[in-house]
Amino acid sequence: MKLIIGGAFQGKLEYAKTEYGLADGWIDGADCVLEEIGTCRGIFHFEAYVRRLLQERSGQEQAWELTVEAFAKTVADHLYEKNPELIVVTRELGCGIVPIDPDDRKYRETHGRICTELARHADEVVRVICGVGMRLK
Amino acid sequence: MMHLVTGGSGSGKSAYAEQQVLEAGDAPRYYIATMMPYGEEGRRRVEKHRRMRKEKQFETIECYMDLKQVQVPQGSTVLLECLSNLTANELYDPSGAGEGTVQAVLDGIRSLRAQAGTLILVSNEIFSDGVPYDASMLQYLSYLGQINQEAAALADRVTEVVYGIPVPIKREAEAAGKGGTI
Repeated sequence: MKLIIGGAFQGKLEYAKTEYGLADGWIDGADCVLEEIGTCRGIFHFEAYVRRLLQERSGQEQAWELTVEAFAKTVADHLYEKNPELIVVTRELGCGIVPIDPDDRKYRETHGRICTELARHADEVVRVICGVGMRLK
Repeated sequence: MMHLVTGGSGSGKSAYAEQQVLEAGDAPRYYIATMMPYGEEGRRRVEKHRRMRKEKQFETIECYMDLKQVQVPQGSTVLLECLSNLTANELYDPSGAGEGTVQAVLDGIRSLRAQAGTLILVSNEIFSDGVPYDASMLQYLSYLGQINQEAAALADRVTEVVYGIPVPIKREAEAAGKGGTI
């Protein structure tokens, strides 16, 4: 698994396409069928995918804090098991002021924790800034 | 040894900071909790941290403001979590330091640094969303930014945790003036 992270509009997807020689086989986390993530070669806008996942599951979880972590681990472990060669391109969105809306807070933290779990599984984590990749792992 | 640990939401910075405490050895461990438990979500957060600290044998000191009055035994290991809460408390609470927030927090850090054998400070990366904020929020951002900078200057090590991966921002060799850049 590869994890490509960075702020918005930094050239993350272009970097990943070039770096891994993967011109197609990508799905867009904003509008793909959720299950496609198990079979595709790469996903971009993974942050949008996480939001859709949360919307789909909303109302199903009980305790706030424990389930964010448990949920994140379940999602990440399941994904790694299903698609261990997946390239995940996602936007770092946890480095701003804490949002006022509780759902936004939850989304932001869940995305962070899922990425932390994915980073643990990944053999490579790259942060892209201004189109330039910095290898963190 | 003073180590400043920063990172975004859900980045794993707390887990990393706790690991640093465990690796610091067997000196008595103190956890300085700064979060006023507002509402249900806040209560759960505080509850979760309390459970964790009990397992790891931390003594908890609640300190919402006026950090410099905190006393710990000389040479102990201290984890302060986090500078962003402390700054908000000092700035927004009626009994806080208000415009003297930066000074108050830094005085507290210097006081702890003089007492602790290992001091680990957790801060927060909240500066990169580009959303326009009102004057009060900008004041907070500016204060925390100044505090982070001063704390980093005082620290032997600065680490940003990115999705569980520690990214060294300042290493001990640099702190000692031996050069080397990232």
